[in-house]
Order: sequence, then C-alpha cells, then structure tokens
Amino acid sequence: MLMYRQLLQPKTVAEAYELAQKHRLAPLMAGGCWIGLGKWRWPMVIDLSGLDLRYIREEENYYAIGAMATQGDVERFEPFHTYGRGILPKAVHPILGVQFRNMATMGGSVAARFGFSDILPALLALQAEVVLHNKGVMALAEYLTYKERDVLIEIRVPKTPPAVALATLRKSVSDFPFLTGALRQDETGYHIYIGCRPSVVREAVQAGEILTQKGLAGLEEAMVAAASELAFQTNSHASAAYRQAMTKVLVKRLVQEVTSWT
Amino acid sequence: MDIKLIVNGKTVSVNVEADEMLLTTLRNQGFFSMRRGCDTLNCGLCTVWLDGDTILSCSYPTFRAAGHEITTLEGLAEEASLLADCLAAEGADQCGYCTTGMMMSAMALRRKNPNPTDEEIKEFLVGNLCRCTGYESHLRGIRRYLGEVQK
Repeated sequence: MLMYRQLLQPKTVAEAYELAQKHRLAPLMAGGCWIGLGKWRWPMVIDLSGLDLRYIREEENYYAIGAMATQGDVERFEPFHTYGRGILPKAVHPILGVQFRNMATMGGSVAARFGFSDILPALLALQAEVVLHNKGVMALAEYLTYKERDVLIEIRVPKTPPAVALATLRKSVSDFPFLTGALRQDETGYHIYIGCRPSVVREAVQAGEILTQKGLAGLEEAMVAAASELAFQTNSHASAAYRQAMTKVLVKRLVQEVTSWT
Repeated sequence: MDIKLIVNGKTVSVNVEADEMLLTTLRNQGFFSMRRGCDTLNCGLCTVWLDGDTILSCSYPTFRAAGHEITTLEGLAEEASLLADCLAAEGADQCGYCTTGMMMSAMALRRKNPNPTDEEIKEFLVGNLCRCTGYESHLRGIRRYLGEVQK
C-alpha cells in the first residue's frame, strides 16, 4: 500500500533534481506502483506529477516519450501500433491489467531498471536514449549502469526503427516474466538482449557476433553462446538452469521473428 | 491538503492527507461501490475511471485526481443495472465482491471497443480477479450486455 509521511511537490525538473540530491533516500514517485507494494510508510517521497512530463511527441528524428507517460499511453499511441511492428505496445501489453498500465509510467519502469522489465529489452533493441536533467542525453544501454542520482525527463526512440523482435516467457498471463529477450538486426549485424535472468537485461555480445558473422547458419551456435555467456540465477519464478535452457529457445524465436522482416 | 474533485460530474471539496488514496477519499464521501481488496494493484476491486480510463483507486493518491473527471459505479447507475442483470443471468455473480470492479472495466471496454472479440474482453478484464466463477460466466455476461446495448 502506498504510504508516505511527507510529500515534496517540485514544480520544475530542476527543482525535482535539487530535492533528489538533498533527500537522497526519498524515492522519486512516478506512477507510484512499485514504491506502493511494500507495507512500510516512506518518510518522504518526491512527487513527479507536477512536471508536465506526461506526453508522447513525434519529433523530426525520434519519438519522445515523457517520463510520466503511462504504459497505457504507449499502448494507445497510434503511430506505435505499426512502429517496429508494434514492439512497444507488445512490450507493455502483458504487464498486469489495463488499470495498472494506466498508472504505471514509462519513466518509472526505465529508471527503476527492473530485472523483470518487459520494456527495457524492447527499448534496448530500438537503441533508445534517455534524457536526464543533469547528464543530458545518454544511450539507454549506458544508463543501465549509470550510478548517479538524476531525474529522467524522457525516453527517445529513433523515428525509423531497425528490424526488431521481442519475446518473453511467463508462467501465466499477467504474471512477471521469467525470461525476456529482444533482438535488433541492422547494418552492424545482430544484437541480442536477454533480461530477467533475473537481473537486469544485458546484451549477449558473443551470440550477436556469431549471428553477424555466420548468419542463420550460426543460429545453433549463437543459441548456445547466449546461454553460456550470461549469468543466470534462481528465484521464485524459475531456476537458473531453466532460464539458461530457455534462453536458447528465446534466441531462436527472436531470430525467426526478425528474419520475417526481410 | 484542500482539493476539489469532480466525481460523477459533481464537484466535491475535500481535505485529505498527502498520502490518502482515492479509494479512501471516495468511500469517505459516501461512494461505496468500489471495494478495498489487495491494496497492491492486483485485484481490480477498487476500479474507477479517471478521465475515462480505468485506474486502481487503492493506489492512486487523491491529490493527483484534483481537476480530473472521476467516475464511479454510482455515476453509471442505469447502464450498471443492465450489466448487473446480464451478469446475474449468466451466473457471473456469486459472492459479488469483485462484481463492481468488473463492471467498471466492462463498461469502459464498451466505450473503447464496442465490438470486442472474446479475446479482447479477456485481455481487458485481466486486471479484475474473481475467485468464485472462473471467468467464463463473466465472459458470457459481458457478451450478453454488449448485445443488449446494441439493440
């Protein structure tokens, strides 16, 4: 249940950043869906709803998704229905129910860098960038290891997407996934991202290189490489061994899907 | 915090704690159609509409709803009556605890997609849990309601 003693309500992103630096233990409250799951009362939260960050805009070279745009907004944004064969609506659609997605924000999902995120692999495959108040524009891949406290303003995805594919595995509808994956095929070759291992999504570099060099002839080898080059762990949703085994299947599905683009 | 809410078309002035959730505020104002269930965004019992979109009022801070149109089942009474009859006719109402949340979702679905497939109905209602009926009767009831509305 979402509970807090003190609510700080910045009116600008700069003010939010200052508050975030001053109160380093106070969570930044976007949709409030995750910080509300515990049973404790936060001493203080920094509310981001007054910053006018709920938007999805089409710019010249990219789509800008405001940090407070909800997952539901992404699902309903018409250009995304065909963009990248609908990869973004496809990424958010399995997340709990309609009501939840009307509250959970894209910024909250990205900034939290959840291991179980359905969204991060898709954004990585699209080579998304994030815009931060202090650090400015940064590749999402870099942001995943960025340690400084900053305020996420928007997420950018290139207007013309490469060939991308997304696949997730979950035990039942609306549950957390136990394995996620995405793939991009562009002029540099294949790039495979595997998440929910259960830690945060990472690129399976060797597997991508094998596919880039050998094409579909290297698929079996790439499947094995992806499963062996990444670390997997056990949690309540799946064992490490099961995740590792299913990674091979996921890579195969991703390659098959992206192959249908060409 | 002193804020003004628009509930079912009427402006309501309330004084709330900063971390009061919309469910609590609405129930304190006499709107009892939405129930408290899991309090963790899972069960859908507390579903209301915010500017026409379904949200979970148990986890939506009231201050964020200021100035937005909130709709509860009380504001949809006539249509809700028809839907309730359809659900009852198909055996989709046993303990009844999930019913009001389910109805809010079903009526929202009709506005967004008047002719949904069975799969689309199921997908729209995935955030509403029922422990009695197994959902098939809900599906029949909602299908019946959509048909009745179109007559």
